[in-house]
Amino acid sequence: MMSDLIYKPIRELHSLIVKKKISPIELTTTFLDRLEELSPVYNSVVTVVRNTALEEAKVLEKEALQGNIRGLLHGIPYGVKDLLATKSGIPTTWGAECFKKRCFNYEATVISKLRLSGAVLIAKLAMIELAGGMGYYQPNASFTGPCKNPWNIETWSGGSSSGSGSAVGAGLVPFAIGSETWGSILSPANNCGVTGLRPTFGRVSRFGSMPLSWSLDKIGPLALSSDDCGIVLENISGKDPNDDSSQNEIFKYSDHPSIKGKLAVITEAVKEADTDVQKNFIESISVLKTWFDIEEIKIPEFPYHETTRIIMLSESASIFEDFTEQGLADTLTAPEDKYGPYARTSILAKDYIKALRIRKLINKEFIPIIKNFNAVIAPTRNSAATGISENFRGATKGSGKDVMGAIGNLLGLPAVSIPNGFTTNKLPTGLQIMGLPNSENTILSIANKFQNEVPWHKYHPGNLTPPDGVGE
Amino acid sequence: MEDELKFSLDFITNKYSLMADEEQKIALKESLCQLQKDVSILRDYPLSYEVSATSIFSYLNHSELED
Repeated sequence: MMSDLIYKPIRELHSLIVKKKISPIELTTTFLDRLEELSPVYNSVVTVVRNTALEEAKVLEKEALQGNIRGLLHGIPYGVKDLLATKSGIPTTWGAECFKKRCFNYEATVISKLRLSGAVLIAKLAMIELAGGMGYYQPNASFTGPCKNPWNIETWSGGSSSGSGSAVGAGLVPFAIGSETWGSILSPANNCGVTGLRPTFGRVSRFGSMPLSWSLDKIGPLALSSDDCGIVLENISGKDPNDDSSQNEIFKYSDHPSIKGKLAVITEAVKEADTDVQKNFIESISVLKTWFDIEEIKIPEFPYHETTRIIMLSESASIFEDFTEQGLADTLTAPEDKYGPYARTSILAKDYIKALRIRKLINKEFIPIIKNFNAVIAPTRNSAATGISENFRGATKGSGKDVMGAIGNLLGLPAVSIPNGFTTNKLPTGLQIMGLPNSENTILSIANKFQNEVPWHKYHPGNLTPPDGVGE
Repeated sequence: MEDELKFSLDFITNKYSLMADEEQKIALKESLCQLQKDVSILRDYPLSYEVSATSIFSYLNHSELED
């Protein structure tokens, strides 16, 4: 019975709880046991929070027995990227050795919201140190070691929300929370064959989250399907007085099964992709053509990558000023992260402001173009997961160019990545659907429609038995 | 830009004594070169003075585009 609970969508788990076929304590214990047994195989967990999880599950069990169900997440276990602050003596490490024992006396708004919704936090998940903001080149850039891909542990999970992607992909948690400044939700979703949603900038409060770039950071879910992501987003969105960038309205998730229309493909976003990635993308288009006209578009020439990079580096130079001044970069794991924070201290104010001005112009020109479409689609990444010890920036064809990621993050646009097939090496690839600001229901409806037609998100890694000696 | 690169490299290596390691100095120089390329592209991008740097948060709040 217990193993039947793994890889179940949130709605099914919810139904089992409502019908009292499974209790919140049983469900929480099942995933805690699984996490403790298997997470060492993947380096996907920093801290398992068994005691607080079981205490919360007890309360939820009592409520469930009284017929008091808070919502779809009542009694559902989950994990968070370890950049979200937790209290109760649970460390928040940001993936960095120097913060290994650091505890906060407050918690992130996202965690408070999920607790109110009845979700049970069971683990703080591994991540690239400082969310990859110091310029890492390798999967090993974390004090917990390289996070492994459940489809092949010789390959990388992606990052910086490494543990969030890996843990969902391995069925260690039903869903996880990640964050993205540029690529950190979509990359692990792509590599681990799970669904990841980067919400519109401001949809979800960042209070209690490690900042990397105030005007680019977003928090969002990674889960088994786009439907699960929609459910989680509804429960974590909304205004937060502690985060002045958070939007006023609460997002209400609603699927539109009859959605039809037009999708755009940006030529530059496809041409550098690997052969298998292109092949799967073309097959995805043939599925989507059932309901949508597909139109290839050219976008205006702008320094998209440079603008996004200068904004990110300038803001992070200010955020990590004390860290850098104190010489803490030297304690980071990856050699490139040890010098990464220094170069950016030389960016002049006028250059940062120029980047902000160019961003305004890009917004003015790009938004009207995509307003003619329901969404823009592209391969999530140019390649599937790369080797666990490879320098991924060098190993990945065209990895330096990510036009969808540069534009999407620069303008705060929402995007969902869904599995769309496998490479000849049996590694998953992803399809990215990016929309206008606040169009999560549109992109999720397109993703739902796709996932109702194709099986890719229902495939899961087969052999999850830990090798001898691991996890003992 | 060459002068700027040299100035930044000297400034950083003097300011942060932890960066004395020769290997790190070379890596830092590469990092600065990449940064200078980005900055140079932005500086060369023509903009009229009417294009201001709008407040970061207000222009990203596209509530009128809700679906």
